[in-house]
Amino acid sequence: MDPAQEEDPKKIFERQALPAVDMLYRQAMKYTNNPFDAEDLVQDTFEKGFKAFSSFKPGTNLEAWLSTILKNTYFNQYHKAQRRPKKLDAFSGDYSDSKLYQAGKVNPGSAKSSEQVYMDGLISKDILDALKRLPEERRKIFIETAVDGKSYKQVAEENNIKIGTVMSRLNRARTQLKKDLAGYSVAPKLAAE
Amino acid sequence: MHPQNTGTALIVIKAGCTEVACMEDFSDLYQAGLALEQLMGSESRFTESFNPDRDADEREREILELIKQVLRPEKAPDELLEKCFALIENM
Repeated sequence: MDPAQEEDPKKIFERQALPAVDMLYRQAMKYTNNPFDAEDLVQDTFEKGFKAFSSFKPGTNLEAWLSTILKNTYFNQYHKAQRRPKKLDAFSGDYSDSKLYQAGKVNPGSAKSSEQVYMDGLISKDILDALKRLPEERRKIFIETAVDGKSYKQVAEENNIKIGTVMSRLNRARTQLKKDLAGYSVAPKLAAE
Repeated sequence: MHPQNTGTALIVIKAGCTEVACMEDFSDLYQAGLALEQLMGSESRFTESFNPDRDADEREREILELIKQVLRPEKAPDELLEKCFALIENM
């Protein structure tokens, strides 16, 4: 018998699924726009993926399979108000410096220093705080247009609003962010690099 | 072009001032932008997307880049891989 067929499914899953973590995290960030929710979503995806691994067809695309699990998990659970991630929600303000530091703690294989990781955490917190202060409708439009680069027309259609409203909300969001981050220096990050 | 009495006004003076078109009360800025496109025969910013190189100053572009780094990272945090590994190991 082929030895590979006798390999522990857990080991097979680890070997095949763990390289997908970056892709899954990027996808989770697009859905949640929140590093902490994104981490929870990825972990939920891994847990569900492993539990259902026996139904995965070897030789097919595991990343796509996990991506579908993540998408379904988000829209079936996270997206519904009745089951928001419980650990942290940046836009509801439920996070702290210590949690950010903990979340960004360096590991021995990391290329980043602990100082850099900590500074990254502070930068993330400043940015997330500023975004959190935007009204939801402006934040959404800002992210879709300025961050994701969608056209005004696409954003208008997806949100069922007029293009003039898209541009108005974007401009108000930009104005508020510029004001909120006026005293914010990018120097610490640049200096630490 | 059909004015819709909603208050958005647009005045276009074509190149060389040989023609002046005055259009009023388009339903929104997008409609006015489309009209501008038709008159000028070229793309207008009204129907495009936000372009930091064109629409933002250097300071805002820096801030936008940081926001993108936070919201659209290339890689997952280092410890997330460890968490996922531990999660599977403990199942």
